[in-house]
Amino acid sequence: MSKPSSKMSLDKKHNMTGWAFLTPAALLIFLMSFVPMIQAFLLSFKMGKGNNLSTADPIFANYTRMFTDTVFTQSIKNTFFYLIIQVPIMLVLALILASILNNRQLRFKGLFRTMIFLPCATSLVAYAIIFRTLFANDGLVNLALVNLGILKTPYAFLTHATSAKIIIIIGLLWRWTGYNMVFYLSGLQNIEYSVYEAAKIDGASPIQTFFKITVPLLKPTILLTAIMSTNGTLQLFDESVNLTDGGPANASITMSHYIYNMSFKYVPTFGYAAAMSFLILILVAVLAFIQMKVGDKRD
Amino acid sequence: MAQMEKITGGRSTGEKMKTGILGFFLNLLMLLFSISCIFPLVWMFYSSLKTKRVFNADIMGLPKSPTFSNYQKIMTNADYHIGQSMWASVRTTVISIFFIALFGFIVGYILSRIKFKGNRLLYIMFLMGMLIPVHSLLVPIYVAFNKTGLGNQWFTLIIPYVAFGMPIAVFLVEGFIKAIPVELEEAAAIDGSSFTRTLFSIILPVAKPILVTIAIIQTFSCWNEFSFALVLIKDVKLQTVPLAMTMFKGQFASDYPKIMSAMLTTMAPVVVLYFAFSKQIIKGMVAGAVKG
Repeated sequence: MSKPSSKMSLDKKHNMTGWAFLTPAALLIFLMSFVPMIQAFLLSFKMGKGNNLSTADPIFANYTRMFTDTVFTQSIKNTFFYLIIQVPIMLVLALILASILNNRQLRFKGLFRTMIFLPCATSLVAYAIIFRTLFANDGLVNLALVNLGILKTPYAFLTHATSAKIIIIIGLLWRWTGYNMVFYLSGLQNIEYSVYEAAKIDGASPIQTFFKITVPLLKPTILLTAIMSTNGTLQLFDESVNLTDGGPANASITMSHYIYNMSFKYVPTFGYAAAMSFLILILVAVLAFIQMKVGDKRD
Repeated sequence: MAQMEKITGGRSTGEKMKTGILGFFLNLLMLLFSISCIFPLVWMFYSSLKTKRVFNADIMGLPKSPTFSNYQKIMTNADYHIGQSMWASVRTTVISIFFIALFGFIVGYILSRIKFKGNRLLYIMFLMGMLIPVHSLLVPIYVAFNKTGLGNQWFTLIIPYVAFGMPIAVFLVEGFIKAIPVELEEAAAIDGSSFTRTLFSIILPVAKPILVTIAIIQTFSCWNEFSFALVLIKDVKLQTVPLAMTMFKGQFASDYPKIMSAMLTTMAPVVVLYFAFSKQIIKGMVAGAVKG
């Protein structure tokens, strides 16, 4: 640490205690995130099954293999399908809910807020079971659709490719909308309510107010949630494993789920799994960078 | 809440009616959405009070003769590992939270207040810890843990939970401390207060809201964490709740009421915690995420 001349003794003490806590924390992150990342990178140039690893020949074999692997390309398509459909719907829904909750005419705010945030606290294994049961052949959704006369016979939601993906999206929306809503709600509470009062007196419609006041003022928060959700969706694993198990026939599998299967479910091919992991890492970094740039420009 | 007071003075009756109708629809919309959020849990609860036969005959209806026999069965049979997995989860979560909050607090404070070479570098390092896809690190971590004998121990999961929970804690604390005026600490320093004393007797009480928020959010993620638990733990006795539930689900594939009672039992601690602190969580998120 550099020492400003005026507070030398204080900074010396800072040094001692500060480093005593900084060092183990930094070391832990270094050993658990950065070292494994480098190891994964080195591993991505190795071939072979289990522990019989040898240097890949040609050296980029694992990387070229990805493009001919139909399951992997399917998993990329699926992950981006979730990203493109689910993230915008969720963020818009969260934003709308937050601005309604911020309205002073609404009663029982605390109760609504508590209920909408609740799915975040539930266990994913539990919610996977709830959703599987709801969408089963004899489940609640089919029961309702048949009774209402919309369907004649129950529809096997989990064994059709498109509906399986839609169930994953609904599951994600159910679980994460409330989480993002809380971020917007806290952002909205920093905006003076008088701004809204003034807009109303000037004759602005609620929709105008939403687009001209709420959205621009919440921009930093929207950017934050967009980055968090993009990052989360690119790494999507739990939902794919527990809701659909990637099925039917890998139609709803995500990239992380496929990597897991390659490393732990089938005969392990760690080198190939590591190569795929690296692609995700690069995707996450690039998308986060683009979002930050786009966010900066509009200022 | 004070905010809910209606401001209606000086408006025409037509205007009042219009806002009244709008208010009604807003309330209705929120009510519907809230119910859809809470319904699956309510349904799970009343279904867990049915027997398997009653549930299969009518999956929707309320139980006519509610019974707690499912709860009795799952709690008394040691083969189900419900109590054991809950103890494993409590132990792992409590210790992880303690270290996440401690390190998050001190590191976040240092990074926001003390200027030194490498400050920004460390900050970026912690931030990157938040962005790195965890699943791409599973293989090297699995290999390293098995080689060093760190895998499959009672403390195994605490290591990755602290490592991957700490970055967000550092980030939130850093943002929170930046918003606090520095005069408080300067006054303390002039009075001869040591760094450790300033940190724990002056800063800690001020930073309490953000630390409580971190603790609660991390409790949810530690309690529900799935990937590391799946990969690093092999011993049935050491399984945490999510893993035990996955096994339980496989064992009783068709006995939904039994599965639901197990789910609710293992979910109870976090749900109770959530209802007790929900206001605090949201307040803490205001302080940390937005002002940061």
